[in-house]
This record gives sequence, structure tokens and C-alpha cells, in this order.
Amino acid sequence: MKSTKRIFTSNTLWIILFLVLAIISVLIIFIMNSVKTAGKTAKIYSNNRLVRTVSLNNDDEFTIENGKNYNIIRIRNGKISVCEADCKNQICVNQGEIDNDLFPIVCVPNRLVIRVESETQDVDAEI
Amino acid sequence: MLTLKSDNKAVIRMNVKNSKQKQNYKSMNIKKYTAMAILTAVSLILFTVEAALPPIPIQGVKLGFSNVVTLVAMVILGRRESFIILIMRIILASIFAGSILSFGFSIAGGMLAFVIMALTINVFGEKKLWITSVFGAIFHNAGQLAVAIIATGTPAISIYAPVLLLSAIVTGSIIGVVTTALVAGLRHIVRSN
Repeated sequence: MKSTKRIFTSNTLWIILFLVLAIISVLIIFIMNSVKTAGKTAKIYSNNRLVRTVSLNNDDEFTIENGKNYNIIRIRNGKISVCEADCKNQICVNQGEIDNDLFPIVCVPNRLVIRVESETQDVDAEI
Repeated sequence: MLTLKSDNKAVIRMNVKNSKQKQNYKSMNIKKYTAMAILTAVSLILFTVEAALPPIPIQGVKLGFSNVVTLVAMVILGRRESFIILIMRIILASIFAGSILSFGFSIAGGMLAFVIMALTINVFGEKKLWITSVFGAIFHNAGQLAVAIIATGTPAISIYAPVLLLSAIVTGSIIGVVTTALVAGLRHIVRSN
């Protein structure tokens, strides 16, 4: 009983365990990176609702408002980004431009999500 | 008559002893409260400093400096005191620089991390604080991700889970090692003379 506890709480076991977990997550990130597909349309969700579907082909800049809060969204060279927001953490602004379906831009304080739709998904939607 | 006298003496002596104990207890309490107040201030400072640092451009990835204080308090003061410090820090931080949502955000991550750390600290002990710290970090991120999914109503953002897991393991280990070093130096602040 005592020896099982010693093994369970040994540093080595947990270093290996956490390392394996870390390596698995790195692998998952790499795999996701390799299967990501660029898209030409983006869907913008605000407050859990789809508020706008935009094409990434045309450069554009517009504001999405949610109550008193706002996010200014910019489309440039086929990429979409949040260029200004009044949220506290500014994570959405710092995330920069995206043009693929891997990581959506999320602004939790203003409840905004921007997802780029990949071409395959578009075909599915049409069928 | 004689016995009564001796009884009286005994009572008086006991009273003296009691008041001495009380005084000792009082000074212990004052020490504890002072330490709690200082640790709350320190954790608030760490929180503010971290918020002022250039942000990491990945969703939800941060070092979690203020967790150092939660862990240190848990070891040198106890879990109840550490919990009070955590609650005070979250409330004060939300008042100074946040909104209702950031309060809900902090409290979900912070509470979940605290519960997990309070449970695991007994298993791993003070020598292996880094394991407790990694557990805390993982569940902190899990709690925040859950709140983010609920707040935005978009389950698709769970794609950030591997990123958050990786960052929790790295930052949790760093914070754990720092805490171990700090505990060794800070333990004396609540020890009675």
C-alpha cells in the first residue's frame, strides 16, 4: 500500500505523464495545422447568433455591435481580423489575421466569434 | 477552609494560564490576518502586473502569477485562508479592472483550480508542489474554456483545448517551482516566536 503511494506520488511518474500529455497536444496541434483549409467566406456570430456572412475576396471594414460593446472587423487580402475592440483583454485584436478554419477568432467579453468556412463545408451546405 | 483556599489559587492560576493562551492565540491571529492581508495585496499586484505585460497572442494563454500566492497561502496558512485570499483577489481585481463577465470568468477558473489544488496538495505534499500546480493550471484553463463556450455559445472553440493543455503544463510547472522556492523563504512569517 505504501509502495503504491510512493510510486503514485513520484516525481518521475508525473514528469513522464505530463510530458506525454504535452507531446500528445503538440501532435494534435500539428495534425490540425496540416488539415486546416483556407476559406473564402467568414461567418460572424454575435451573442450566440449568426449576424453576418462575409466574403473574404472583397476588402472591407465594418463594426459589429453588441449592446454597448463593439468590435471593428477588417478584411484585407483574403484575411479577416479584428482591428479594434473595446474589450478588456484585447485577445481578439492580438490574435491577428486568419484565413483558415483552424482557430476561430473569439472575443469572449463581447461574445463575438468569427469563423472562416472552408470550401468543403460550403459544398456540404449546398448539398 | 484550607481546601477552598487552594482551590481558589488553582482557579486563579488557571485563569492566568488561560489569558496567556488567549494572548498567544490573539497574537497568532493577528499575525495570520496580517499575512493574509499582505498576500492579498501581493496577489492583486501580480495580477495587475501580468495584465500590463504585453499579451500573448494566443487565446487564454497566460502565466498565472497570482496562483503563486494561492499556493503559498495554502501551504503556510491553510486552505481556508488561501480560499479567502483568492476570493478577495478576484473581487478586488474585478472592481479595479473588469466587468461582470470577467468576474464570472475569473471565478470559474479560479474556483475549479482551487478545489483541485486543495484536493491534490494532500496527496503530493509540500515537496512536490509543482504537480499540484500543474493540476491547478489544467483545471483553471478547463474552467475558463467552459465559460467561454457557454458565453459565446460556440462549442467549436473547444479546438483550443490542446493549446490550453500544453500551456497549462508549461506554466503550471514554472509556477510550481517558483512557489516551492517561495514557501521555503516565507514560512517563518506565521510562525509564533
